[in-house]
Amino acid sequence: MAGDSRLDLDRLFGKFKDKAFPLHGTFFLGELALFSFVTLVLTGTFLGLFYEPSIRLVELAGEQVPAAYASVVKIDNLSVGLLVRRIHHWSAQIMIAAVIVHMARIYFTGAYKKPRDVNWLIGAILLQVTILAAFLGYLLPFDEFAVTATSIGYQVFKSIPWIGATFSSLAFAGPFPNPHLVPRFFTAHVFLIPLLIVGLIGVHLMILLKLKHTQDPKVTKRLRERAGDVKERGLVGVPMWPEQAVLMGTIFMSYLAGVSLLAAFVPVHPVEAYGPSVPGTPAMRPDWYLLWIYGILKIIPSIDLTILGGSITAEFIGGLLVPGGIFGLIMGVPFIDEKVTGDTAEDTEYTELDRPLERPGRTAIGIGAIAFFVLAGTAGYLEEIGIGALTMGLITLLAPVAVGAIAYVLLRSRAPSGA
Amino acid sequence: MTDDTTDETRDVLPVRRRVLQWFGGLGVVGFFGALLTPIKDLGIAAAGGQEIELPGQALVLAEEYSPPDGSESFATGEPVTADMLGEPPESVLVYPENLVDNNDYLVRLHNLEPDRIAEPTNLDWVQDGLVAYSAICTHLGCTVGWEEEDDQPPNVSAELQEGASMLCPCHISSFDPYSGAEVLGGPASRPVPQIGVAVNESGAVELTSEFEGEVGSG
Repeated sequence: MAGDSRLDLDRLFGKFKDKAFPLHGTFFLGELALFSFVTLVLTGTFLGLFYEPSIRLVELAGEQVPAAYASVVKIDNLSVGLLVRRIHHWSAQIMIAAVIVHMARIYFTGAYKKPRDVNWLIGAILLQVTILAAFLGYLLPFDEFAVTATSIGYQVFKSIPWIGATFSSLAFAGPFPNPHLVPRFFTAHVFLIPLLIVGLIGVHLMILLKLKHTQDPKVTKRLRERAGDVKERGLVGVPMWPEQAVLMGTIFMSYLAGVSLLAAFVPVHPVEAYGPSVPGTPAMRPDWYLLWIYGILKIIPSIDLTILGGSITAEFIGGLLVPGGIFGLIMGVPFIDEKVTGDTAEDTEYTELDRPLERPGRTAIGIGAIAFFVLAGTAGYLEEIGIGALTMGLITLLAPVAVGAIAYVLLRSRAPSGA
Repeated sequence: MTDDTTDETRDVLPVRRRVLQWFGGLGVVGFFGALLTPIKDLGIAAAGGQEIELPGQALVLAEEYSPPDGSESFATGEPVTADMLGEPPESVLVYPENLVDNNDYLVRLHNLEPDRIAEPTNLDWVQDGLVAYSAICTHLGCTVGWEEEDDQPPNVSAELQEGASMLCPCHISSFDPYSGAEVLGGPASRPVPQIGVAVNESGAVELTSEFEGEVGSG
């Protein structure tokens, strides 16, 4: 090999080619997130070639519309343009979903425990950065949806007490809307944030290479028996080369096939149906991963407290304080767990995962949290359900506690020895 | 260190190293600190202090208006006249004529039953049931819509609201146009500010005052 005679690649390759990878289906969720990110970069590059990050007015079918909007309509009319744009939108949704389910797997099996706590933290930051990337991307087509969503984002940041006006003006290039905003968000969406995501993924994977995966004790036992292995401990899995590499290639190809099929038949973010921005705001809801924040904004009653000249409003509490607190709690999971239970992984080489049904406390909290997100998202539809904001607010607060308590009692009765 | 190092260099080396570290650190901090200096210019489009006189400006339609009686609709940009509006309660979205497309100045002009308009509405700013408010929601700045009487959201109780209301589609804040746009329900914490309107000699509706409070959220 040409590279080998110069760079001694065999040594590097030899070091990692036998790294054991787990085979259970739930261990491929992170890879799914990675592959959707790669797809986003590839399709995004295509879109970037035709997109114009400007809101100067141009003529489109006899109407004056922003150039950004016109360029997205142009992309839709390229021979594969609409397909690529839909793959991009779907991949964004799938990436966020994959990250969330990946995190759920790690949470419910306790795979976040020290020394893996740092990687949980990086993953939780990746989730937030990914959502930020999606939010910045909302603005780019500059259709009605874009302007409404970004305007609400701007107002939420403006509601930060004391520094809100200054902060939002610095972040959004002045009061919203203004002509400098689209170029700024474009740069952030296609360069800064992806760079940050690449860096975080790199660190995430390096830690993963070093720390190895957690193992289900029962699966491990079975696999070892089949292999005739007599050792008590030790990692079981397929080697990175060639088995895992082939698997990953297969998953990536299957992902591309699946998302192309989805994009071909299921419309997503129909820019021309939204149309260019108009003075009146039509009723529209954010994508599902922001729906819970939207629901919280709807059920928080009006508040206007003034403390030392700064006003604490419902929009600050619902839009930033509560979601920020929730993301803080998510990032803090390993550290809170360690404080409460004193439980850490035994060693860095071999860690058994916890079976969710044997951990009533943790599993019940997780189920309660899922109930909360689902109900908060449902609150986004309260006028359609016909429930008042106060009732819905109480349900959103209390029902998750009840669901968690019931889950705890049931799990407890099943596994009386569990902690 | 090798054996032939004198005691003198043994003392000097750590000091030299520390001095170098200090200067290196200073250089890094200085370089990146200097890059932060244009930070205030990130808010490029910071508000230019141009004064805009609202009183005396006629109102023009911000969106197409089709009267409820089915007569011919009026196009965006047409000046609003008193007899253009349908039977009360009715509402249109308008701009002051010199501020078209500036959404901070979007106004909702209502034609309501005159005897139902009550305090805290500023009655001096009302003429023959014509009453106007900023159309920018005080919650998160969406454009406030218009909801007919029998189609109120569930957070507005029947006792609170018997007429039509101004309803923000974003987070369902609703305001009572009959009484100074008081908040009827939802997360908004204060009314959308009222602005005075009157019909001039030529029959056009024009503004007679500034907004009575801060427009939009915050």
